[in-house]
Amino acid sequence: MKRRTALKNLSLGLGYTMTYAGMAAFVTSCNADNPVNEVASTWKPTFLKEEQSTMLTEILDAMLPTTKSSPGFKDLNLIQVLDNVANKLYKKEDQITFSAGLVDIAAKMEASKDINGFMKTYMTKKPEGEEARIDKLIDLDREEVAEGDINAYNFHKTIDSIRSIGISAYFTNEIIGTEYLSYDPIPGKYVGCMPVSEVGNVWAL
Amino acid sequence: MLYNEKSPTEYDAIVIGTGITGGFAAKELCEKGLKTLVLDRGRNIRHVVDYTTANMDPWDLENGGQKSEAELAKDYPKQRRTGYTTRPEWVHHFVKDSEHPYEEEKDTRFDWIRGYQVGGRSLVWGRQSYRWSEMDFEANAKDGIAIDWPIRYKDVAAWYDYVESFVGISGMNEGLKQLPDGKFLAPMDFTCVETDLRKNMESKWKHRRLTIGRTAHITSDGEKFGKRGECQFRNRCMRGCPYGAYFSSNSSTLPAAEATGNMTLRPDSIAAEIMYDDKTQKATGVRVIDAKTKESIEFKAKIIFCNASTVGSTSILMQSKSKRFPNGLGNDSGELGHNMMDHHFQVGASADVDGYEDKYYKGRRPNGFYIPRFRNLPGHNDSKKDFIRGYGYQGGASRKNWERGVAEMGYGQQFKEDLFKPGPWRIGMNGFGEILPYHDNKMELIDKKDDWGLPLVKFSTTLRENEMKMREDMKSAAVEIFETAGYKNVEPFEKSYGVGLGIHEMGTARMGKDPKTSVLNKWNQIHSVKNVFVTDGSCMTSAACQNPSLTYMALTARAADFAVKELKKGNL
Repeated sequence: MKRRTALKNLSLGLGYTMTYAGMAAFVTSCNADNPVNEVASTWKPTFLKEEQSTMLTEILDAMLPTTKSSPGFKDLNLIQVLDNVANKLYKKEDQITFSAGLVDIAAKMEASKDINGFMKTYMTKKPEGEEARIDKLIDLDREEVAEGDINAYNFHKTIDSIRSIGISAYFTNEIIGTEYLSYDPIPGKYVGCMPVSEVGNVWAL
Repeated sequence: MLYNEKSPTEYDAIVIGTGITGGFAAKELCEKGLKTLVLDRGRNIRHVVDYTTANMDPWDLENGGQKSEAELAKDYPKQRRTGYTTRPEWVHHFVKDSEHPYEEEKDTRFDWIRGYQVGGRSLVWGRQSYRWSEMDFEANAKDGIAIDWPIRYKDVAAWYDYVESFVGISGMNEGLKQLPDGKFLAPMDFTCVETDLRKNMESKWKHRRLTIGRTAHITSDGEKFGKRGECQFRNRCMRGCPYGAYFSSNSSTLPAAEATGNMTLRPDSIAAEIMYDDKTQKATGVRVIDAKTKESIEFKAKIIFCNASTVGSTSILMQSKSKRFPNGLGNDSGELGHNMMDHHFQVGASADVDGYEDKYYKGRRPNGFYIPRFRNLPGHNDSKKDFIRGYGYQGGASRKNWERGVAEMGYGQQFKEDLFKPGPWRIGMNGFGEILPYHDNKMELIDKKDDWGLPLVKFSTTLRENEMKMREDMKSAAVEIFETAGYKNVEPFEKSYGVGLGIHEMGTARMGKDPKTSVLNKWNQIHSVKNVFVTDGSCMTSAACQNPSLTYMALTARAADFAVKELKKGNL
């Protein structure tokens, strides 16, 4: 899985737009007909351990919390998406990285005063030089990583994965897409330049 | 009509393949009154009815829009090299490598990306449609490279008019010598930042132009296109369009052929060889292997159009061995299989653009901007000494969406709420460059057989110095264009490319004046077998840098017109 930026390829001439979309199809029957809580109580993770599932839910709910105007990560039961991605879409070496990273994250959660302490330390931007070094490190394939860097690789790549899948899962969820973002399945025409005020929120599709 | 047990085995014409050129050959021959058998090796895909994923939203797609790693590794090790052909929205329009394997010469790479179904890759093509210029047809002769084309722009100009009018191309005329004007429907809009770049380039360079992509979508004059509708800007083209708004064999040429009553369509029909009679020095027909039952059936015809795609057609010719043609039908020159080309890409730049925070767009444009070739044009001082030929750019400017939240390390209510809003503007472009014809870039058939007893293909292709030097320039010129426009954080990129990844593989049965150095003459006829025409990508003698399908279609319509005239004169 490539790091951080979901798409750099803007060559629309190839007839496609690469998006990181649609992760929410993983969610077991999580739609308007099925109460989320009912689903939450029957689902069991396949790849994650139960305590990791709980931990990641806490972290991602702190990242994408419920607000006055929109649901949060936990409300939509999106932890299922993370579990399914790691299970089905990850190559073996990425699964190894992910598992090792989760152990490290658990230790750091333990050592933090509370969830806010963890988020403040590990989910905020670092000085530019350090950010650039981390970017370069996690861009490598696992086999290219020097032995001395492997712990940092596991941790930072897993943080990146959690952010990436968590954010994608949230914003490509059907409820978010159709009720909270600007949803227009059949636009009918294309207007290239217009006031943003006439659209509102970012396009869902 | 679909082939059935009552269908004859003898026809006026056979067309092998229903991709972008096969479909056109079928339409032209049927409209000129020929009873035509149209074969495709894959299953039928009926327009609209069989577009199973056409209206799915991201949350409707299997695995959230991605195939599992296990499935990709097993069934799509080569198709996955594109990064997008294996998405569930349209993976069923591409082959499984596990069912259709091929080989690459050691230490070389060839990315053979294709689909085996009625419509072929006309269902999934990028729809970018650009004319060649006189300069492109003259290039080999002027540079002393390979062999000269047996035709010039003037031979094809009227056919470009003809196919553009039938296909429906949206675009705008720019009066550029290196990119001839065409017959266009309403152009698609630029975004605000693209307009900004267009203006900036106009003021800074006399002959570097940013124009809107010329794309095979109906954007106006809908009433001229029969049952086809206007583009709804859903950008879900590769799934098949329920409106028929973009051009494909399924939406356009096959229905036209069907309407004549002269077409018999037989899907699941693998052309094993073109049968040849040395007494008449003509092909007599096509031997087909039924893809499902594996039985062998022979069909006869007076003329044959071989439009099975570059690799498909050349394979069929190679498989068509006889005493007269021990090295494959029409292969007196020994050039069959050689001179494989593509367009190399995956190199360019991207940048952040300040401003325009109050502007956005509506609709999902299935197109981008195009910067036609500005390098090495005669009479201009924008030339490079370390490579010949040139490249164009395709790109777009849009506003970042919530994906920026991944890199923008943050969390909490404000962080989340901000991601509901459109982000800053970003622009990027990818260069498409010409690959020269090298004799050693080739394909051949090997002893290993596929499930139908036909030989596998082995490729041996690499980029050479001209391409590598060109790629360096594609990168730095893209940076220069964005920096000159005042954009921020301009970053070049270069991603992994193998010959074939452009999905414009062409050559291997080239046209030429001399039967000693070419397979086809100026009418796309095999020099030595005058009733066989080859008009798909295999016929190309050089590659230029423009997306090639429009040129393939023009050559097809021209060859079909000639073929029928010759047939009526009794020459075939």
